[in-house]
Amino acid sequence: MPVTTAAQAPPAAASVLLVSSNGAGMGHLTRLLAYARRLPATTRRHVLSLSQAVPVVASEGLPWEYLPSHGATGLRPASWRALFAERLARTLDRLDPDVLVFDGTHPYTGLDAALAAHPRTRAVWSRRGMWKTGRNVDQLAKSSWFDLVLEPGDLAGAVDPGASADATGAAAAHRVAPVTLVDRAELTSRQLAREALGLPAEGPLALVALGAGNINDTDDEVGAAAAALRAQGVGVCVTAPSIAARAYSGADVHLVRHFPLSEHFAAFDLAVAAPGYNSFHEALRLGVPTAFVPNRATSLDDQVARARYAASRGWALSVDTLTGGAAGGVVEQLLTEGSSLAEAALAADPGNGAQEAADLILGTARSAAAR
Amino acid sequence: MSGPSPRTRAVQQRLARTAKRMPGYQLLVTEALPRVRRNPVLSDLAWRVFAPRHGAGQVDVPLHGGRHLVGRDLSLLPVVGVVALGADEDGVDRLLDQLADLQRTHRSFRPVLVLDLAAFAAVRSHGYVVEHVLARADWPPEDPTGWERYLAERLAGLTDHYQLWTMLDAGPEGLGPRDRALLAALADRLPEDLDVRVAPAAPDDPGAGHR
Repeated sequence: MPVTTAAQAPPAAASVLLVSSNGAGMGHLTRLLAYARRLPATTRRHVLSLSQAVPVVASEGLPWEYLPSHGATGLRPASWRALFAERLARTLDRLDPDVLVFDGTHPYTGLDAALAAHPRTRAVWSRRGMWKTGRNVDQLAKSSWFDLVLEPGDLAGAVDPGASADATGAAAAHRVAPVTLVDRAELTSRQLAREALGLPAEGPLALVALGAGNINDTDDEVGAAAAALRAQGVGVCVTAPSIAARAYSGADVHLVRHFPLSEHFAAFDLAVAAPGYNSFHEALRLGVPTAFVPNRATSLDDQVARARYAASRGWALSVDTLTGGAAGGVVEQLLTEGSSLAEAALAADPGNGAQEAADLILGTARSAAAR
Repeated sequence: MSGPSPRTRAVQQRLARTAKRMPGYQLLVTEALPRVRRNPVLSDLAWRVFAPRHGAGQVDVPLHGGRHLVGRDLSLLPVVGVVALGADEDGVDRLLDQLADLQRTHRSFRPVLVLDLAAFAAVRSHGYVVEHVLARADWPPEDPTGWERYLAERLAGLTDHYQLWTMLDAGPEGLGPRDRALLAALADRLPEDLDVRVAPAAPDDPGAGHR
């Protein structure tokens, strides 16, 4: 993917550097891509990510760079921060973007110094909510590093228990509607989706997106879901990063690997998913009957609150666990009530906030260009 | 290599924050300490009193060293940059197998891969650290010397941040005979009592069965 330097771009073209933390899963990258897709075609867009999944952005035509996370290196925190700060500062010098958009809940020390050393570049913090109670509070002070704090809204925002929900002053966010990369109108047909994913054309299929697990162990969430679905005659599709693919070898499941998978959601009749920001909003906004199984081990994301709220509104099922024999009843209920739950979720959909977010980012970029 | 526990790290972070808020901290960091470092008498005194360790196998550099070695002193193994620009997927796989084999044979180094190919999954399966650099082909042709400068800056930064003991170039067949011999010779420079062992090979581990 050829890199465009500042000198090559037309003078009027805005330039945006999209920076994502590594996080778990694809959430940060996907959200940044949702913004990037909706920026004008003339905008110079470049991705710098701490996630090893970053090459997927090439499918959107975006140049990318990888910066290993602290966890990926094992360096001392102070050593890694120095590495991060230098890489970011040099990237800013080379690309000279009008605006940097950081998506993450923990802006790294060094980001402030790099921005201070490059004062022309404006900065936007894309900060999702639903933080667990009392967590991450000290990070709110870092709002002052940014020209704009942008919050991709949450369909469960009414019960957001976290410190970011009622942040005031400089820490207050400009909240937009929930952000997803794909809109319902962009979904491929069921037939095309199944062809694209290499899935059987006929028969019910369920997407199981619960992270890595043991497909053959019913004491495991993934294994329990798979067994219950098979018992009801529903084919099992699992999302698996290449590193985990071996765990599913020999199992009677379909591995689905496509980015963005959500554009082919019509392939699935049901979903059993952990309600991280992306999976939650993709399932509800794209109309897939879903049972949410919250991952309680997240350090910050309150998946329990998100899933319970969706259940209380009649948009989806929420269960604490599928193990211990619980999965059968959940799948049965999903098969009978799933369609009406999904319709209720669609009826409550406030629309995609990605366009408004892109407009805000572009406005911030123009204010830098006008400096 | 295992770092401090989350609890220990939280305590460290709290202490660091408290120290940074203490009156005079900025003056100490920006004025006093640089003067002490520039003073030859005080520097010599500090070296005599604290006798900092130096040399291969003496300096502690926390860094993931891969799945093939274990032991208490892994973080003392020298870190070696391995630059493999232009390698395709098969070339990267061959190089990774070769590095795993050399690690198991000599127990003398930990690699940091420098690639211009997105081969993250392959590198991750060995547990090595990987840095990605932009490929020359992706650099704007209007700036013909820019890529050389960019690469030089990146390699200089990596040498510094990862405290590399040396940096080696890998070709289509991986490391050449001289560099393989260098890694073998490095083993003789390490302290004899270093606790670094070959990890028991799991059946599906990459590199298993090489020895």
